Amino acid sequence: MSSAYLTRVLRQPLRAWRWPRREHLLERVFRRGPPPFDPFPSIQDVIDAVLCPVTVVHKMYHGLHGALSGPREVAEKIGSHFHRFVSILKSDIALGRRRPDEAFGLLKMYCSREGLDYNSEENLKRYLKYWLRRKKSSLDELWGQGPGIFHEVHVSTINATWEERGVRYPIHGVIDEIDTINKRIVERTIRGNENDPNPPFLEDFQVWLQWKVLTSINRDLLPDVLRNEDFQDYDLIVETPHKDFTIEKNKPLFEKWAEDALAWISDIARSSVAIGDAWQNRGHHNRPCSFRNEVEECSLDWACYSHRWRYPERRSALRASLRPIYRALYYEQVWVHDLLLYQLTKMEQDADPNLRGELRRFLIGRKIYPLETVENIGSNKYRVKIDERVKVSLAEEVQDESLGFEVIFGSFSVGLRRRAYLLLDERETEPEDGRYVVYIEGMDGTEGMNAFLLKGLLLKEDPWFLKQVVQRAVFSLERWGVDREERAKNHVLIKLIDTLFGPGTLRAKRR
Amino acid sequence: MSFRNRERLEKALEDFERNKLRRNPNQVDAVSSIIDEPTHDDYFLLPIVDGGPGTGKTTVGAYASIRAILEGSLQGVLYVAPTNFAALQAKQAFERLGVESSDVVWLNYKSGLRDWNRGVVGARYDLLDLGPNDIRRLRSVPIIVCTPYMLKRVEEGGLRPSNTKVIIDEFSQIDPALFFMVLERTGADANRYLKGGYALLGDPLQLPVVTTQRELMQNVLDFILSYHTIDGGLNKLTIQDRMHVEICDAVNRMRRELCFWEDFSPLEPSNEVKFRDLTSPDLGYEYTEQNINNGRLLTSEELREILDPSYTFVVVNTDKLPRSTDEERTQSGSWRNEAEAEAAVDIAIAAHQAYHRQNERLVPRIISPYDAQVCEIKYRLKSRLRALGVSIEGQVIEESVMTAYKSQGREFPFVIVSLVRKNPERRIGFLEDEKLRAQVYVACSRAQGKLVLLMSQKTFGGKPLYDELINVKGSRHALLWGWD
Repeated sequence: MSSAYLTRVLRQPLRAWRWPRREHLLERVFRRGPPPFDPFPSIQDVIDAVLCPVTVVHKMYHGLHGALSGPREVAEKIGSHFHRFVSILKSDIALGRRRPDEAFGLLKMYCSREGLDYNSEENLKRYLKYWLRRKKSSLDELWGQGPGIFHEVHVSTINATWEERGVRYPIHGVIDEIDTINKRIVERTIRGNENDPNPPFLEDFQVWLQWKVLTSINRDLLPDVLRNEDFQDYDLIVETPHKDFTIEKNKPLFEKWAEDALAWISDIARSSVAIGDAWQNRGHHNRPCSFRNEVEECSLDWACYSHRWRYPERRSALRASLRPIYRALYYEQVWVHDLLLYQLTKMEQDADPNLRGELRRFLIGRKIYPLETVENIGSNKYRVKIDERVKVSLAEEVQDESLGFEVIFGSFSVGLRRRAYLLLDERETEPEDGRYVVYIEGMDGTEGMNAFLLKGLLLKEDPWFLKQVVQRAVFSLERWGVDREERAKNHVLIKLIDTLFGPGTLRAKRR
Repeated sequence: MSFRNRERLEKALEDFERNKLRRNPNQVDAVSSIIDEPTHDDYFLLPIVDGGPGTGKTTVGAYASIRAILEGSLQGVLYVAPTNFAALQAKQAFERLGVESSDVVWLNYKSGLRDWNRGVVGARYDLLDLGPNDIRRLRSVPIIVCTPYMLKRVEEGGLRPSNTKVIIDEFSQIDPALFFMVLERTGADANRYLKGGYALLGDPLQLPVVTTQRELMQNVLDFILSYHTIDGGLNKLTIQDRMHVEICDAVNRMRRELCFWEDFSPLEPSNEVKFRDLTSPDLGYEYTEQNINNGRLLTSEELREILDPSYTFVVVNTDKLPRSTDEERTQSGSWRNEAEAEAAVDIAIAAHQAYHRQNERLVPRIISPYDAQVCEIKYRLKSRLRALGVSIEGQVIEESVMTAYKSQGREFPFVIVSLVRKNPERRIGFLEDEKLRAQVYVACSRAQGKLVLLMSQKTFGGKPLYDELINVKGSRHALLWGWD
């Protein structure tokens, strides 16, 4: 791969985002082929695009995400466990259930419940030790204060704007922590060292972006508990186990990066020329990436630079046959998942009240099901009652296959998003009456909020995220091979690929 | 790695060979292709078995797997089905051939579910919820059945030995992307060769891949054929062991209409099932006409005509139902038709009252392509049975009404199919889509001894697939009820 460009060229900003039209939002046109609208990017997508535009190619077409946060098996897993554990600990302390000095006991229970191995537990313990050393007094102050810290807050906007150009963009994502007691928005990470003078690479951009998204959302859409908060005045904090960094809000450079990243996302989604451009511009704005000189924070270097195996010999034909498949799998995700994000966000935020109403009528009972929590019956199980108007629709959905849902407390624009499992085998579950026992983790602080189930995992038709699993596997096949001839000669998969894409004889019947 | 009940299993297989396999040379060929090694000097063998409903594809796959393990030519089998439901059906096919439940494990995503006696094990993506003993047990089980999405777990845990055959069932629902995923998860290892190779089983006319994208609409067989000719053709199974000849003829008419390539092969009923209706000794129901009472929509006389066992294929024109209703779109976006649901319930209850064998009453199965109709029929059936004082367990009702997707891979003595659509504009949505209309083909081909189809003549008439379906001129065993 040549490195003709030493640094990235800033992309010409978009004149307008391609939004889905009314007929797409109301599903009045048959979903087929390339979606005539741009994807609904997540905060993570924008950050990865700032890291390197090739990460967008890998995310869209090869199902590889989390370029900055590291591969799932290592960093992301421990990082997300650390964050989840801290949120449980802080909630328990704020609600007066547990004292700060019980943290390690709670960690042990957490690790055992999550089935974490010894190494993961030790890693978590190490991070927690550093973190607790700094946070002891603030945790003592937090004790018994009641629910004032909200974790894993889902935000979604169609009104994010940068600089003064006024182009609107959609972005959704999750804020690690909104602390209404200390007026802080916190991005928590396990990256970084004790002596680092600056926050870990791009974490400052991340918390800034979260804040931009949150402040672009109309106050009326915030849950009651957050409605009176003025987020313009909040501090933006990047919290590592070793240090807290306060991030400045006025960042013209971040605005440029965000606009550039969104231009890449829009272009790569629709044009193969843009994919070539991305390869030419690989790397961060001031840190180009090339073989043996990779951006060290990127965890996808293996996907860009890999060994070229001798076998299978028909790899180029295999690769050519896979290209349209990657694209088709991506389009499928946009039609299923990104369109749903547009529908839900526009249902609350679109400027046209008629469209908002139409979307609400269209989605309720089809994709969202309002519910009311009747009783907490312990072990994260709740008795819930589904809204009378949609109980039959939900019963239709759950009769055939297992369904997973997400439950949103608050609104889709700003709400607490939790995974929910309808426990259909529970005696008290009566779909005909709209009564279900539901398993929901982390419902603290949601009292009095609106709640609705959001259809997630539908096994009858493949759910969107499984398309990413397929993309990853196919990409892995494309890159796989062997060098030694004697191995290749007897290898069934190499034989199959070389026969299928070559001139050899393929038989379905024994001769 | 072998079976716990090796001796009994060998005996069961001998019986199967004597009674079934020897009468069907195509099945014998298919079995030997599956068992054979994949690599040969002058060709690569990818066994593909193309069989219509009731031709025993899954049984052939299961038999070949067991035989190969018993003979020692394979150490294990990985049986891949597109949905968990299909995986469960495959597991049952192995058990029907005599494999103990614990020797054929259905590996699924439900973490914490572990029943070794039933052969059902759930595991999370990183297998951390399984202990070392569980992993060893999974490694020693001769057969694992699962969906393609579980293969990462199989790979991570090294759950299959290298001398394993990977059998992919219901290939009509496997698109090229999924096929490549199966290859990657099972064969892409430089050091551990997958010696057993692959086999594909399915009926290309059955349920298709559901997608918005043209590139994914073709199933794996279409994809392979677009790259390569298959020397010597496919292993075609055409003798079916399920349907009465009248139902088989209706299914063949649909197959001809659905088949878009030249070499259409009609199904032939085996001698055992050719004239097998509900009252034949094999199915063994007694028919007591007097037990039939008036339904809510249909009179006892009408019901007697519909349920007459000599009519094995009955098409009810729902335009002629008293208080006939048009379809209705539900909030979920699905469709239901109340009058048609009521008629289906009338017929099901009357059949339950009229047909019995020994101490058991017939439980007809009702199949519809629409979720909303399935739900509607369940509600009506429950409330009607309650009113009649008939006690049937809720689970039986849940299992007796199902969607076409859920019915795939199963067979029932008596099937009622409700097509729902009825409107002046004659719109039938996906039921005329080139691929998705296969749902009607699947639903109808589940019936062994009697098939009752509920459809509106005004709405479906003039549409090629449905005109062919009701083209029963001169037939002794078919009845077009209420047809103009």
